Amino acid sequence: MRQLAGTLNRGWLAVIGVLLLLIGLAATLATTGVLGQLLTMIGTEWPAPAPNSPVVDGAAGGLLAQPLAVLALAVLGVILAVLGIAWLLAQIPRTNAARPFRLHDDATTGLTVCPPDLLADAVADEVKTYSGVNGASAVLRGTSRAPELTLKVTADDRTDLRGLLASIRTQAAQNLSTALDTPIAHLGVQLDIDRGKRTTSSVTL
Amino acid sequence: MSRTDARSTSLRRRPARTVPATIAAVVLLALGVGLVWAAVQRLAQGSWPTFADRTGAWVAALAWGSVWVLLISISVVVLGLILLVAAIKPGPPTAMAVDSGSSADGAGASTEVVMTRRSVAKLATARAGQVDGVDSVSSVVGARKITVVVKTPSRQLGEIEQQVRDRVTDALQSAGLAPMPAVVVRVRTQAL
Repeated sequence: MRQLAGTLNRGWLAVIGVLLLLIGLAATLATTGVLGQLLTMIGTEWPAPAPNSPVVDGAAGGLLAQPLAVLALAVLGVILAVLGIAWLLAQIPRTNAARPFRLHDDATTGLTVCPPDLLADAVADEVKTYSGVNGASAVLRGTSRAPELTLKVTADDRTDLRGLLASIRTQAAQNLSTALDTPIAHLGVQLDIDRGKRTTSSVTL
Repeated sequence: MSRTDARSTSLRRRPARTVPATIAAVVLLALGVGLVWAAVQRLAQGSWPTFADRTGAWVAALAWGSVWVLLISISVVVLGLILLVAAIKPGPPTAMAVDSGSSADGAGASTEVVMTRRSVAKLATARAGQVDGVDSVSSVVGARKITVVVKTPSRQLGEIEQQVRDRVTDALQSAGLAPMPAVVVRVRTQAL
Protein backbone atom coordinates (compact mmCIF):
# COMPACT_ATOMS: atom_id res chain seq x y z
CA MET A 1 0.00 0.00 0.00
CA ARG A 2 2.92 2.30 0.72
CA GLN A 3 4.55 3.77 -2.34
CA LEU A 4 8.18 3.23 -3.33
CA ALA A 5 10.50 5.29 -5.52
CA GLY A 6 10.57 2.75 -8.37
CA THR A 7 10.69 5.23 -11.25
CA LEU A 8 13.36 7.34 -9.55
CA ASN A 9 15.50 4.27 -8.81
CA ARG A 10 15.25 2.87 -12.31
CA GLY A 11 15.96 6.28 -13.88
CA TRP A 12 19.12 6.93 -11.86
CA LEU A 13 20.31 3.33 -12.16
CA ALA A 14 19.97 3.65 -15.95
CA VAL A 15 21.89 6.95 -16.01
CA ILE A 16 24.73 5.61 -13.83
CA GLY A 17 24.73 2.31 -15.74
CA VAL A 18 25.08 4.03 -19.14
CA LEU A 19 27.84 6.31 -17.80
CA LEU A 20 29.82 3.41 -16.34
CA LEU A 21 29.31 1.37 -19.51
CA LEU A 22 30.61 4.16 -21.75
CA ILE A 23 33.60 4.94 -19.49
CA GLY A 24 34.44 1.25 -19.11
CA LEU A 25 34.16 0.55 -22.86
CA ALA A 26 36.32 3.56 -23.76
CA ALA A 27 38.96 2.53 -21.20
CA THR A 28 38.90 -1.09 -22.40
CA LEU A 29 39.32 -0.01 -26.03
CA ALA A 30 42.17 2.34 -25.02
CA THR A 31 44.05 -0.22 -22.95
CA THR A 32 43.76 -2.98 -25.60
CA GLY A 33 44.92 -0.63 -28.38
CA VAL A 34 41.67 -0.95 -30.34
CA LEU A 35 40.90 2.74 -29.75
CA GLY A 36 44.02 3.77 -31.73
CA GLN A 37 42.97 1.60 -34.69
CA LEU A 38 39.42 3.01 -34.57
CA LEU A 39 40.70 6.62 -34.47
CA THR A 40 42.99 5.93 -37.43
CA MET A 41 40.15 4.28 -39.35
CA ILE A 42 37.89 7.27 -38.76
CA GLY A 43 40.69 9.59 -39.78
CA THR A 44 40.72 11.88 -36.75
CA GLU A 45 43.77 13.76 -35.56
CA TRP A 46 43.31 12.66 -31.95
CA PRO A 47 46.07 10.35 -30.79
CA ALA A 48 45.20 7.23 -28.83
CA PRO A 49 47.15 6.80 -25.54
CA ALA A 50 50.33 4.77 -25.90
CA PRO A 51 50.49 1.52 -23.84
CA ASN A 52 53.38 2.82 -21.74
CA SER A 53 51.96 6.32 -21.17
CA PRO A 54 50.53 6.98 -17.68
CA VAL A 55 46.77 7.00 -17.17
CA VAL A 56 47.08 10.22 -15.13
CA ASP A 57 49.85 12.53 -16.31
CA GLY A 58 51.72 15.20 -14.37
CA ALA A 59 49.31 17.96 -15.43
CA ALA A 60 46.55 16.40 -13.30
CA GLY A 61 48.86 16.36 -10.27
CA GLY A 62 49.70 20.03 -10.84
CA LEU A 63 46.02 20.89 -11.16
CA LEU A 64 45.23 19.27 -7.80
CA ALA A 65 47.87 21.50 -6.17
CA GLN A 66 45.72 24.56 -6.99
CA PRO A 67 43.47 25.66 -4.07
CA LEU A 68 40.64 26.41 -6.52
CA ALA A 69 40.72 22.83 -7.88
CA VAL A 70 40.68 21.48 -4.31
CA LEU A 71 37.68 23.70 -3.56
CA ALA A 72 35.94 22.41 -6.70
CA LEU A 73 36.64 18.87 -5.48
CA ALA A 74 35.03 19.71 -2.12
CA VAL A 75 31.96 21.15 -3.86
CA LEU A 76 31.72 18.02 -6.03
CA GLY A 77 31.95 15.92 -2.87
CA VAL A 78 29.14 17.90 -1.21
CA ILE A 79 26.94 17.49 -4.32
CA LEU A 80 27.57 13.72 -4.44
CA ALA A 81 26.93 13.36 -0.69
CA VAL A 82 23.67 15.35 -0.88
CA LEU A 83 22.51 13.29 -3.88
CA GLY A 84 23.39 10.08 -2.01
CA ILE A 85 21.47 11.15 1.12
CA ALA A 86 18.45 12.29 -0.93
CA TRP A 87 18.42 8.99 -2.83
CA LEU A 88 18.68 7.03 0.43
CA LEU A 89 15.81 9.00 1.99
CA ALA A 90 13.69 8.34 -1.11
CA GLN A 91 13.89 4.60 -0.34
CA ILE A 92 11.67 5.04 2.72
CA PRO A 93 8.18 3.81 1.75
CA ARG A 94 5.64 6.65 1.83
CA THR A 95 1.92 6.55 2.51
CA ASN A 96 1.44 9.61 0.30
CA ALA A 97 -1.95 10.19 1.90
CA ALA A 98 -4.30 13.02 0.97
CA ARG A 99 -4.03 16.45 2.55
CA PRO A 100 -6.87 17.38 4.95
CA PHE A 101 -10.14 17.41 3.03
CA ARG A 102 -11.78 20.85 2.80
CA LEU A 103 -15.38 19.70 2.87
CA HIS A 104 -16.61 23.29 2.99
CA ASP A 105 -14.11 25.77 1.58
CA ASP A 106 -16.09 29.02 1.56
CA ALA A 107 -14.23 31.24 4.03
CA THR A 108 -17.13 33.69 4.33
CA THR A 109 -19.48 31.08 5.79
CA GLY A 110 -16.88 28.93 7.54
CA LEU A 111 -14.37 26.22 6.71
CA THR A 112 -14.90 22.54 7.39
CA VAL A 113 -11.72 20.47 7.38
CA CYS A 114 -11.61 16.71 7.84
CA PRO A 115 -8.37 14.74 8.29
CA PRO A 116 -8.40 11.86 5.75
CA ASP A 117 -6.84 9.42 8.23
CA LEU A 118 -9.97 9.78 10.39
CA LEU A 119 -12.13 8.54 7.51
CA ALA A 120 -9.58 5.90 6.53
CA ASP A 121 -9.52 4.53 10.10
CA ALA A 122 -13.33 4.40 10.12
CA VAL A 123 -13.32 2.41 6.84
CA ALA A 124 -10.62 0.06 8.18
CA ASP A 125 -12.53 -0.46 11.44
CA GLU A 126 -15.66 -1.32 9.47
CA VAL A 127 -13.82 -3.83 7.25
CA LYS A 128 -12.32 -5.46 10.37
CA THR A 129 -15.84 -6.39 11.49
CA TYR A 130 -16.47 -8.45 8.33
CA SER A 131 -16.45 -12.20 8.68
CA GLY A 132 -13.04 -13.81 8.07
CA VAL A 133 -11.07 -10.56 8.24
CA ASN A 134 -8.08 -10.66 10.59
CA GLY A 135 -6.89 -7.10 9.98
CA ALA A 136 -7.35 -4.08 7.76
CA SER A 137 -5.76 -0.71 7.09
CA ALA A 138 -6.80 2.05 4.72
CA VAL A 139 -5.30 5.10 3.03
CA LEU A 140 -7.25 7.90 1.44
CA ARG A 141 -5.67 9.78 -1.42
CA GLY A 142 -6.97 12.29 -3.95
CA THR A 143 -9.32 15.09 -2.93
CA SER A 144 -12.65 15.33 -1.13
CA ARG A 145 -14.39 15.60 -4.53
CA ALA A 146 -12.49 12.66 -6.06
CA PRO A 147 -11.37 10.45 -3.17
CA GLU A 148 -9.22 7.42 -3.87
CA LEU A 149 -9.49 4.62 -1.32
CA THR A 150 -6.77 2.00 -0.95
CA LEU A 151 -7.37 -0.90 1.42
CA LYS A 152 -5.10 -3.63 2.72
CA VAL A 153 -7.18 -6.48 4.02
CA THR A 154 -5.77 -9.52 5.77
CA ALA A 155 -8.22 -12.38 5.51
CA ASP A 156 -8.31 -15.93 6.79
CA ASP A 157 -7.48 -18.56 4.17
CA ARG A 158 -10.99 -20.04 4.52
CA THR A 159 -12.76 -16.74 3.85
CA ASP A 160 -15.10 -16.32 0.89
CA LEU A 161 -12.95 -13.73 -0.89
CA ARG A 162 -15.57 -12.89 -3.53
CA GLY A 163 -18.13 -12.18 -0.82
CA LEU A 164 -15.60 -10.12 1.12
CA LEU A 165 -14.80 -8.01 -1.95
CA ALA A 166 -18.50 -7.50 -2.61
CA SER A 167 -18.97 -6.33 1.00
CA ILE A 168 -16.06 -3.92 0.71
CA ARG A 169 -17.45 -2.47 -2.52
CA THR A 170 -21.09 -2.25 -1.55
CA GLN A 171 -20.74 -1.41 2.15
CA ALA A 172 -17.38 0.08 3.21
CA ALA A 173 -16.73 2.06 0.02
CA GLN A 174 -20.37 3.01 -0.28
CA ASN A 175 -20.46 4.28 3.33
CA LEU A 176 -17.38 6.41 2.67
CA SER A 177 -18.99 7.72 -0.49
CA THR A 178 -22.11 8.64 1.50
CA ALA A 179 -20.05 10.32 4.24
CA LEU A 180 -18.18 12.46 1.72
CA ASP A 181 -21.28 12.96 -0.42
CA THR A 182 -19.30 12.11 -3.55
CA PRO A 183 -18.53 8.91 -5.49
CA ILE A 184 -15.22 7.14 -4.88
CA ALA A 185 -12.95 7.83 -7.85
CA HIS A 186 -10.71 4.80 -7.35
CA LEU A 187 -10.90 1.75 -5.12
CA GLY A 188 -7.77 -0.35 -4.63
CA VAL A 189 -7.76 -3.50 -2.50
CA GLN A 190 -4.71 -5.53 -1.58
CA LEU A 191 -5.74 -8.93 -0.26
CA ASP A 192 -3.38 -10.66 2.13
CA ILE A 193 -3.95 -14.17 3.39
CA ASP A 194 -3.15 -15.13 6.95
CA ARG A 195 -3.94 -18.34 8.76
CA GLY A 196 -4.82 -16.32 11.88
CA LYS A 197 -5.67 -17.93 15.19
CA ARG A 198 -6.94 -21.50 15.10
CA THR A 199 -8.80 -23.23 17.85
CA THR A 200 -9.10 -26.97 17.96
CA SER A 201 -11.35 -29.09 20.06
CA SER A 202 -11.82 -32.82 20.27
CA VAL A 203 -14.83 -35.04 20.55
CA THR A 204 -14.77 -38.54 22.00
CA LEU A 205 -17.22 -40.92 20.32
CA MET B 1 12.19 12.27 -4.80
CA SER B 2 9.27 10.23 -3.50
CA ARG B 3 5.76 11.02 -4.59
CA THR B 4 3.93 13.63 -2.53
CA ASP B 5 1.04 14.21 -4.94
CA ALA B 6 -1.47 12.19 -2.86
CA ARG B 7 -2.38 10.09 -5.92
CA SER B 8 -2.91 6.34 -5.99
CA THR B 9 -0.51 4.14 -7.93
CA SER B 10 -1.10 0.63 -9.21
CA LEU B 11 -1.00 -1.99 -6.47
CA ARG B 12 0.34 -4.48 -9.01
CA ARG B 13 3.73 -2.90 -9.45
CA ARG B 14 7.09 -4.08 -10.68
CA PRO B 15 10.07 -4.36 -8.27
CA ALA B 16 11.25 -0.89 -7.25
CA ARG B 17 14.94 -1.98 -7.35
CA THR B 18 15.42 -0.75 -3.79
CA VAL B 19 18.51 -2.90 -3.11
CA PRO B 20 20.69 -1.77 -6.07
CA ALA B 21 19.48 1.81 -5.57
CA THR B 22 20.40 1.74 -1.87
CA ILE B 23 23.86 0.30 -2.64
CA ALA B 24 24.43 2.94 -5.35
CA ALA B 25 23.26 5.72 -2.99
CA VAL B 26 25.60 4.53 -0.21
CA VAL B 27 28.52 4.42 -2.68
CA LEU B 28 27.67 7.97 -3.86
CA LEU B 29 27.48 9.16 -0.26
CA ALA B 30 30.80 7.49 0.66
CA LEU B 31 32.46 8.98 -2.42
CA GLY B 32 31.13 12.44 -1.58
CA VAL B 33 32.20 12.25 2.07
CA GLY B 34 35.65 10.98 1.05
CA LEU B 35 36.10 13.83 -1.44
CA VAL B 36 34.99 16.48 1.09
CA TRP B 37 37.20 15.01 3.81
CA ALA B 38 40.27 14.91 1.54
CA ALA B 39 39.66 18.42 0.16
CA VAL B 40 39.06 19.98 3.60
CA GLN B 41 42.23 18.41 5.02
CA ARG B 42 44.22 19.59 1.97
CA LEU B 43 42.89 23.15 2.41
CA ALA B 44 43.28 23.20 6.22
CA GLN B 45 46.62 21.39 6.69
CA GLY B 46 48.20 21.70 3.26
CA SER B 47 48.54 17.95 2.73
CA TRP B 48 46.27 15.21 1.41
CA PRO B 49 45.12 12.53 3.87
CA THR B 50 47.00 9.23 3.74
CA PHE B 51 44.25 7.31 1.85
CA ALA B 52 44.07 9.99 -0.87
CA ASP B 53 47.88 10.17 -1.11
CA ARG B 54 48.21 6.40 -1.53
CA THR B 55 45.35 6.20 -4.05
CA GLY B 56 46.83 9.11 -6.03
CA ALA B 57 50.32 7.53 -6.05
CA TRP B 58 48.88 4.17 -7.17
CA VAL B 59 46.84 5.73 -9.99
CA ALA B 60 49.82 7.87 -11.10
CA ALA B 61 51.95 4.73 -11.44
CA LEU B 62 49.42 3.04 -13.76
CA ALA B 63 50.10 2.93 -17.50
CA TRP B 64 47.46 2.37 -20.21
CA GLY B 65 48.96 -0.99 -21.11
CA SER B 66 48.82 -2.29 -17.52
CA VAL B 67 46.76 -5.36 -16.64
CA TRP B 68 45.21 -3.44 -13.72
CA VAL B 69 43.73 -0.85 -16.09
CA LEU B 70 42.27 -3.63 -18.25
CA LEU B 71 40.80 -5.41 -15.21
CA ILE B 72 39.31 -2.20 -13.81
CA SER B 73 37.89 -1.24 -17.23
CA ILE B 74 36.20 -4.63 -17.67
CA SER B 75 34.85 -4.44 -14.10
CA VAL B 76 33.36 -1.00 -14.82
CA VAL B 77 31.72 -2.35 -18.02
CA VAL B 78 30.24 -5.31 -16.10
CA LEU B 79 29.00 -3.03 -13.29
CA GLY B 80 27.43 -0.66 -15.82
CA LEU B 81 25.69 -3.59 -17.54
CA ILE B 82 24.34 -4.90 -14.20
CA LEU B 83 22.91 -1.48 -13.29
CA LEU B 84 21.44 -1.03 -16.78
CA VAL B 85 19.77 -4.46 -16.69
CA ALA B 86 18.40 -3.72 -13.19
CA ALA B 87 16.97 -0.46 -14.50
CA ILE B 88 15.47 -1.84 -17.72
CA LYS B 89 14.33 -5.38 -16.81
CA PRO B 90 10.74 -5.10 -15.54
CA GLY B 91 10.90 -8.04 -13.12
CA PRO B 92 7.94 -10.09 -11.96
CA PRO B 93 5.00 -8.12 -10.54
CA THR B 94 4.81 -8.08 -6.74
CA ALA B 95 1.14 -9.04 -6.77
CA MET B 96 -1.37 -10.93 -8.91
CA ALA B 97 -4.51 -9.31 -10.28
CA VAL B 98 -7.86 -10.43 -8.89
CA ASP B 99 -11.08 -10.12 -10.82
CA SER B 100 -13.28 -8.26 -8.36
CA GLY B 101 -16.42 -9.28 -10.22
CA SER B 102 -16.99 -5.75 -11.50
CA SER B 103 -14.62 -3.41 -13.27
CA ALA B 104 -16.44 -0.48 -11.76
CA ASP B 105 -18.66 -0.06 -8.78
CA GLY B 106 -22.14 1.40 -8.91
CA ALA B 107 -20.83 4.94 -8.77
CA GLY B 108 -18.41 4.44 -11.66
CA ALA B 109 -15.17 4.13 -9.67
CA SER B 110 -12.25 2.27 -11.16
CA THR B 111 -11.45 -0.79 -9.07
CA GLU B 112 -8.18 -2.66 -8.71
CA VAL B 113 -7.90 -5.76 -6.55
CA VAL B 114 -4.64 -7.63 -6.10
CA MET B 115 -3.30 -10.46 -4.01
CA THR B 116 0.37 -10.51 -3.07
CA ARG B 117 2.35 -13.47 -4.34
CA ARG B 118 3.11 -14.45 -0.75
CA SER B 119 -0.62 -14.52 -0.01
CA VAL B 120 -1.29 -16.66 -3.08
CA ALA B 121 1.36 -19.07 -1.82
CA LYS B 122 -0.23 -19.10 1.65
CA LEU B 123 -3.68 -19.78 0.17
CA ALA B 124 -2.36 -22.61 -2.01
CA THR B 125 -0.42 -24.09 0.91
CA ALA B 126 -3.42 -23.91 3.25
CA ARG B 127 -5.79 -25.56 0.76
CA ALA B 128 -3.30 -28.26 -0.20
CA GLY B 129 -2.73 -28.97 3.48
CA GLN B 130 -6.43 -29.78 3.90
CA VAL B 131 -6.17 -32.81 1.58
CA ASP B 132 -6.17 -36.11 3.45
CA GLY B 133 -2.79 -37.82 3.34
CA VAL B 134 -0.75 -34.64 3.01
CA ASP B 135 1.91 -34.24 5.69
CA SER B 136 3.61 -31.01 4.69
CA VAL B 137 3.27 -28.48 1.89
CA SER B 138 5.36 -25.66 0.48
CA SER B 139 4.40 -23.39 -2.41
CA VAL B 140 6.41 -21.15 -4.69
CA VAL B 141 4.59 -18.53 -6.74
CA GLY B 142 6.09 -17.31 -10.00
CA ALA B 143 4.71 -14.76 -12.43
CA ARG B 144 2.47 -17.32 -14.20
CA LYS B 145 2.95 -20.56 -12.32
CA ILE B 146 2.41 -21.90 -8.82
CA THR B 147 4.46 -24.87 -7.78
CA VAL B 148 3.09 -26.82 -4.84
CA VAL B 149 5.43 -29.40 -3.29
CA VAL B 150 3.64 -31.95 -1.15
CA LYS B 151 5.10 -34.60 1.13
CA THR B 152 2.96 -37.62 1.89
CA PRO B 153 3.40 -41.06 3.44
CA SER B 154 0.72 -42.39 1.05
CA ARG B 155 1.55 -44.67 -1.87
CA GLN B 156 -1.30 -43.25 -3.94
CA LEU B 157 0.86 -40.48 -5.34
CA GLY B 158 -1.22 -39.90 -8.46
CA GLU B 159 -4.42 -39.62 -6.47
CA ILE B 160 -2.90 -37.21 -3.95
CA GLU B 161 -1.46 -35.10 -6.79
CA GLN B 162 -4.85 -34.88 -8.50
CA GLN B 163 -6.67 -33.99 -5.28
CA VAL B 164 -4.15 -31.29 -4.38
CA ARG B 165 -4.28 -29.83 -7.89
CA ASP B 166 -8.08 -29.75 -7.86
CA ARG B 167 -8.23 -28.20 -4.39
CA VAL B 168 -5.62 -25.49 -5.15
CA THR B 169 -7.08 -24.70 -8.57
CA ASP B 170 -10.55 -24.41 -7.06
CA ALA B 171 -9.27 -22.07 -4.31
CA LEU B 172 -7.48 -19.81 -6.77
CA GLN B 173 -10.46 -19.72 -9.12
CA SER B 174 -12.76 -18.89 -6.20
CA ALA B 175 -10.42 -16.08 -5.20
CA GLY B 176 -10.76 -14.75 -8.75
CA LEU B 177 -7.12 -14.64 -9.85
CA ALA B 178 -7.06 -13.33 -13.41
CA PRO B 179 -5.23 -14.53 -15.41
CA MET B 180 -5.35 -17.85 -13.66
CA PRO B 181 -1.80 -19.16 -13.03
CA ALA B 182 -0.86 -22.73 -13.92
CA VAL B 183 -0.80 -25.06 -10.92
CA VAL B 184 2.08 -27.54 -10.82
CA VAL B 185 1.99 -30.18 -8.08
CA ARG B 186 4.97 -32.27 -7.08
CA VAL B 187 4.35 -35.14 -4.68
CA ARG B 188 7.17 -36.67 -2.69
CA THR B 189 6.91 -39.69 -0.50
CA GLN B 190 7.86 -39.39 3.10
CA ALA B 191 8.88 -42.41 5.13
CA LEU B 192 6.64 -43.15 8.09
